[in-house]
Amino acid sequence: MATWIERYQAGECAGIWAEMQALGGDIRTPAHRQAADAVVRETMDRARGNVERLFEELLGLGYRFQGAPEPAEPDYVLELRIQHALDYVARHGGRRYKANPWSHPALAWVEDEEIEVPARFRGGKPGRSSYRPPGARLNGALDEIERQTGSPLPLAVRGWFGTVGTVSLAGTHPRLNPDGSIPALRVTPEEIDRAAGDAAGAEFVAAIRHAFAWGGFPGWADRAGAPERELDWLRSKLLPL
Amino acid sequence: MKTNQLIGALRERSSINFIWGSGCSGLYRSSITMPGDPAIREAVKKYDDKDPLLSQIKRNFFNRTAGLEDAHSCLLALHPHERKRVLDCQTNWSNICMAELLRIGRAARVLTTNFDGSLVRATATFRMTPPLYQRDFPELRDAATPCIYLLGDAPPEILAGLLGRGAATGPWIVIGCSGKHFGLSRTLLSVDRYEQGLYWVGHFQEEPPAELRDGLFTSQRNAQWITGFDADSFMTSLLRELGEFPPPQLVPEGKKVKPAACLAAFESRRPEGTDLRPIMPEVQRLETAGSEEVQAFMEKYAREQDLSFRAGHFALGLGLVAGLLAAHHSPRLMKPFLIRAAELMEPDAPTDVNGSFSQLCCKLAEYSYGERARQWYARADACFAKMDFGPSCGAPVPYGHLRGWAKMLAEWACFEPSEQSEAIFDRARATILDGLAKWKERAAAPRPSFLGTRTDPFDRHRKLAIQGFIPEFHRRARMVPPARALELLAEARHWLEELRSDQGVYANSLAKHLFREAEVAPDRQAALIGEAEDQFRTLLRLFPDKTAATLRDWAGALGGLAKARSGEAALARYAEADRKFGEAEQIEACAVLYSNWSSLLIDEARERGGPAELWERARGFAERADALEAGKGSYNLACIAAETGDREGIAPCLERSAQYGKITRLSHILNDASLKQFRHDPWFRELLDGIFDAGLVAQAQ
Repeated sequence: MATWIERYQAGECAGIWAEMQALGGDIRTPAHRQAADAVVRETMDRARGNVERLFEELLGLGYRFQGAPEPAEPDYVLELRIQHALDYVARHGGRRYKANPWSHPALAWVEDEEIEVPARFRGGKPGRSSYRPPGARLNGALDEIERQTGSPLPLAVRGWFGTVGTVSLAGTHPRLNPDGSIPALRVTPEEIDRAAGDAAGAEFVAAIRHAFAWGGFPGWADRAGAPERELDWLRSKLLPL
Repeated sequence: MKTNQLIGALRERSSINFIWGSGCSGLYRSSITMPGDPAIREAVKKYDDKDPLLSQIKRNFFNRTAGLEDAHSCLLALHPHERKRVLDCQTNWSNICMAELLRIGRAARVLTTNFDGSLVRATATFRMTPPLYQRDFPELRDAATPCIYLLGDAPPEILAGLLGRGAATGPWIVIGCSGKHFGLSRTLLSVDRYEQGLYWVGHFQEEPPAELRDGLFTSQRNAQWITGFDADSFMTSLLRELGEFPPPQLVPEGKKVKPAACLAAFESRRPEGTDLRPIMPEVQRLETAGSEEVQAFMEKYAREQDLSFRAGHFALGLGLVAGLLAAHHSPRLMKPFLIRAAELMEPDAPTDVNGSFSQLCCKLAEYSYGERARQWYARADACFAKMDFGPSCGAPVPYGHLRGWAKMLAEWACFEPSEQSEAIFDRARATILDGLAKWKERAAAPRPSFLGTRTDPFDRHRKLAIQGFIPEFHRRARMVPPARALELLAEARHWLEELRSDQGVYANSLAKHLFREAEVAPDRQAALIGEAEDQFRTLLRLFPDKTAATLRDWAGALGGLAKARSGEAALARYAEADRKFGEAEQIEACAVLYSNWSSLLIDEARERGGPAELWERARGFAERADALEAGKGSYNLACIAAETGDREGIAPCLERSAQYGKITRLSHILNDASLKQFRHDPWFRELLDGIFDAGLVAQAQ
């Protein structure tokens, strides 16, 4: 008999999540946990890939992400600190950090101190208000929620924040989001459904799936005049969850 | 600990003490070529990645640092001028910010074992001269603030002691340090609690040294490990919060400048190296100016040179200017500047083929006596020993320093006699011989065609060395027993033959030499003098325009011979010398002539038992010398006063002689036939102390 992960990879995505959800809190028992974790990992890896592609494609379409305005004068001291850390990673980080130096421990302070990285270091990528990678600070916030609610967060929620991070596609675009009023994909610890319980988190995955089905702009689902050409283009870049 | 918490804590506390490591230096690798020698190449490669400085040291000083495996030990084995060759530093924010924190009083003391001088250079660029404690290390609570402790050459226990006893003098920041060297980790652990906190800034995410991880960074000790910075980024953040970033001195008033432009402009504000051309007219004018004006000029110039030295330049200007003005002003006025100049010049002196530092030491030895004079000569000697002007030095003629070295040693042997004098003179002689052999060898080697064939610089160098050293043989010969003197003179005569091709130089040197030989060989006196006089006649024939000078030399040689004789033999020579001076006067009346003539008459008067008219003639000539050149005859007037029982007349004459920089060396005064009768008298020692500040009174006590 095929395992959850095999069936998931074969395309039974929604079905597997429904089965896992049906187990309720038992999903965390040793009998199911390992198999569930494999599905969560696969789902969230796909989700991360989707988010990365969305950021890339939206930038390509000229989408303007909502973010803190760049200061009128560059913060030289901060830029010097970032530049020296990047130089350090380039010299000592090895191949592993070549593609993404920001995940090197030498730059951990950027996240720890909630630094808004100046645009020139982001290479056109969105800023902190649009995307924050996973990290200790985020984990701490989730732990705090669990402590307050007295129950663990759904596996999918922890999986998302552990693999993808904090994401907000809020912004403006002449067709995709003309005046910024179209609700876009937004996943932050502050907006977690605290009553979701301790199950697998199929509802959370369904919501994400729905957002991806609308190219990251689920707000178009109940509106007329959706920019189908752009949405189709975005959908074509994403993997199913 | 968050940055803003740290800054907040520091803002509330007193000025900060820093332990400043090599991570703050901005060192970079200037040489990237691979050495040809396989052993050196291997060492360079071995350290290239993990310790670029060590690799650089091995590349340049492989043999000097054999067996040493860390950069600090290697640097300790090198001389200051050698360290400069490997410590290439670029301007960085760490040092600029540190200098600014010192300027605004937020940094109190900086303790560093760095040898590169980047921080001192940065303070100099801000025109600051905080005290640098390099040899004597006061307790932190007694030190001036701000100040910099340069502990590179100090044993590790000095740092441990200072920190242990001064831990409570302020909050501490340790930055740019790995903790692996200098016993720093042990030292920090030796303090139970840092009352105002200790913050060690690591390098980005790097971990604290293993031995400190659990021991130092505890709330009990009040010590914190700070991550997420390198030295530059931490110091810029700190300055922005505690002062003003970029430092206002780097921003033209009323203008807005990007910090990156300030960094680039910083180097252009660095004090300049020595350039004497612009000030030479002023120095020449000061030769005849009053002492107050000279003092003011020298103080200002000393400050500029101090800045220049701190900025990393070879500050030889103060020594050269002080040396020039010392020929016209009193030792008392010039000595402090000569001493300061010596301190500024000494670290870089081994790179100066002209031996300017040695000339300075010789001048200061002139102003000293006994052990103090010996110390000045010894410092010059030690400096020469560090020089490396071999074939790869790049100079047109290698080993150019040997002449200066030999001359200094010969002077030492002659003017500060001691049990070692003979050995010192032998070293001087051997130094010249060494040079002669080396220049001869190089002259024989094939020369590159671009140098041409018309002149042989090595041959010229050899002749100059011989010509310069012959008078040293003559001077030494007067200080040793006749048998030894004859040996020395025989050798000098042998050397003289090398000058035969230059007839003028040869005749002049030979004439004087023959007279000197006659002094110690009475049996051959007639023949030697006959031959010498032939040489003087040759000079008169060859150089009619220098007749007066030749006659003065001739008279001087006769006077020297007369002084070596007694009775009728002496008086006959004095009379001849007197006639020669008279002939010279007919051609050219100058201060030198009257001064020398006066000296001759003093000697003659002493020999004759002093007829009054002879003393009067001597006084008259001395006064004429003094009238022609202020101070030139004053020393002789002091001697005449001493010989004629006019004790009151001695002091004003010696002081006038000193005032115009014409006084003779201290050791000569103390041994002068006219004055040595007073050498133990307190009044005379006080008088000489007033002129030379030589500590004679204290010495006597």
